[in-house]
Amino acid sequence: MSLFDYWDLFGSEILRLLWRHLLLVTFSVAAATAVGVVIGVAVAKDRRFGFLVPVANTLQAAPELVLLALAIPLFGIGFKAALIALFAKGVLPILRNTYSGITGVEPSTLEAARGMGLSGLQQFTRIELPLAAPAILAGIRVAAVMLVSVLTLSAYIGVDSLGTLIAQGIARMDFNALFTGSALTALFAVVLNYGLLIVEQRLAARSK
Amino acid sequence: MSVAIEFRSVSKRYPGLAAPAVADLSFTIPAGSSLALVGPSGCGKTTSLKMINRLIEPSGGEIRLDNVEIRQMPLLELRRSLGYVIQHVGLFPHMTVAANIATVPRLKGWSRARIAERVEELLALVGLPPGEYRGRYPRQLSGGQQQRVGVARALAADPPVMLMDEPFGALDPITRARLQDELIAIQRKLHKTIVFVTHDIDEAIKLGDRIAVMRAGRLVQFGSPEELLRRPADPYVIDLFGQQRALKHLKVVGVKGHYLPLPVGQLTVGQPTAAKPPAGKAISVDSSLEEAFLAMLESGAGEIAVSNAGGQVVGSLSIEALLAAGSVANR
Repeated sequence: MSLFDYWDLFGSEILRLLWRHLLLVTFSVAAATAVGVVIGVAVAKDRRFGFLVPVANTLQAAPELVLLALAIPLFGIGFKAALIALFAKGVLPILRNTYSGITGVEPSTLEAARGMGLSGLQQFTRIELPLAAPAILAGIRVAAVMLVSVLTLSAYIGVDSLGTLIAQGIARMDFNALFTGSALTALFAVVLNYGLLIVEQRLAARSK
Repeated sequence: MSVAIEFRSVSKRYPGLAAPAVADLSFTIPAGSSLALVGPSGCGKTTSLKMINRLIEPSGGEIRLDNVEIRQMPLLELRRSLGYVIQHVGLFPHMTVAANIATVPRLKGWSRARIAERVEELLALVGLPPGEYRGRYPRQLSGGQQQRVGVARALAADPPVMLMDEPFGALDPITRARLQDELIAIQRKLHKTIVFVTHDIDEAIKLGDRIAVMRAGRLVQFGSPEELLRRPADPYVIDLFGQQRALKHLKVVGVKGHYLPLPVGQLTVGQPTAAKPPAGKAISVDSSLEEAFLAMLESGAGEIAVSNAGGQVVGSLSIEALLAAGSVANR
């Protein structure tokens, strides 16, 4: 059938899968951000936490299917497993950017803050974090775009997403499914990228 | 409102280093006066300054503010009661000028209205029209403007003491001179106790009521600029002033007390008297010997008229009197 007929027929299913994909991306970006920022700040403040970086690096480099395969015996098949297995892919860019954002704050700015009587926590929340925010957001953006495509693999452990369309397209030689799945994934990634880029630029304009 | 600062045998040692960064430093700064800490790199002047707000903890001795040892005070409270200005300014780039200035008042819980009023007042004090500068960001300001905001920020909570670490070091000479003059004007109004670090001896002479010369962590000489220029205690201090010590000395001695006053009742030039005031441009009675000397060089005469604030001639200064007052020869 033609592409438009395909969309006509399966429109609601496609949208459902898009929505599932959105959920997966949102939760995994949130998790990657939480872990990445915390570790990034820890390493920036105390070099001894540096050992965590090679760990994040390894998880990043590990093939996705391996991570998925490892997750299944631990978490079974499902949304949680897909999340836990794959969110780690997003940690490293956020970690690295958090680290460089925090360490990139001008020493004189921090010295002034300290000398004026801001407590350690106040220095962190009022000065360091706001100034590191553009870099951190850039890291989140990179991670998010990456996760949009990585999460298509959730289909292989039975978790519905845009990847389901792609997997179906490959398995059944169905061009419509394949095209729709790939195009939507790509579009999602592009929109997310530019959307976050605009926010990032607004933030950076204030902090230079 | 200002307080006296006292250093009693203050020292700072770093582990692993044989020589102390600061050793047995003792002096008193009277309330409302300024002290310049001068010396070469590594002499301990910045370390000494930073021990006052405990950015560096002393290894030994006591530092007293208004006769209270600084370690008796909660640390944050101590720092919030001291204005701190540094060479690279350290303005918070993500905050407006007004927000920067408001930092310490905000920490102290001032009301928004009070903070806003204070910001206006301080911007005017440092020569930045509030309407124009309140909402600007640091990156939109020149170096000199940034440091003015830095000074305003330090003055925000009206601290009795100001600590300044090479505050004008990063500025071009013209801006530096202008800001130095403005600091003098501000100090005349506010009478803060100021401690500032500089490696520029001329700045120390210009801004300091007293100078502490340091070398290798120790105090070499402590006194007014005039005392140091007239009676340097050490070849090192002489070196610090360089070849032009005598000329620098002329800057710090005033015409007052050394000119020959006209007999009372004689106020106009041209009237024959025992002390006939010379013709030509007069200098103010508040001038320094340097200005008198320059005027004499310009006129070519060995005598110059001295006038009061109202412009009336009140006496004359001869070159001999200038030499007697300005000489740095040992007496």
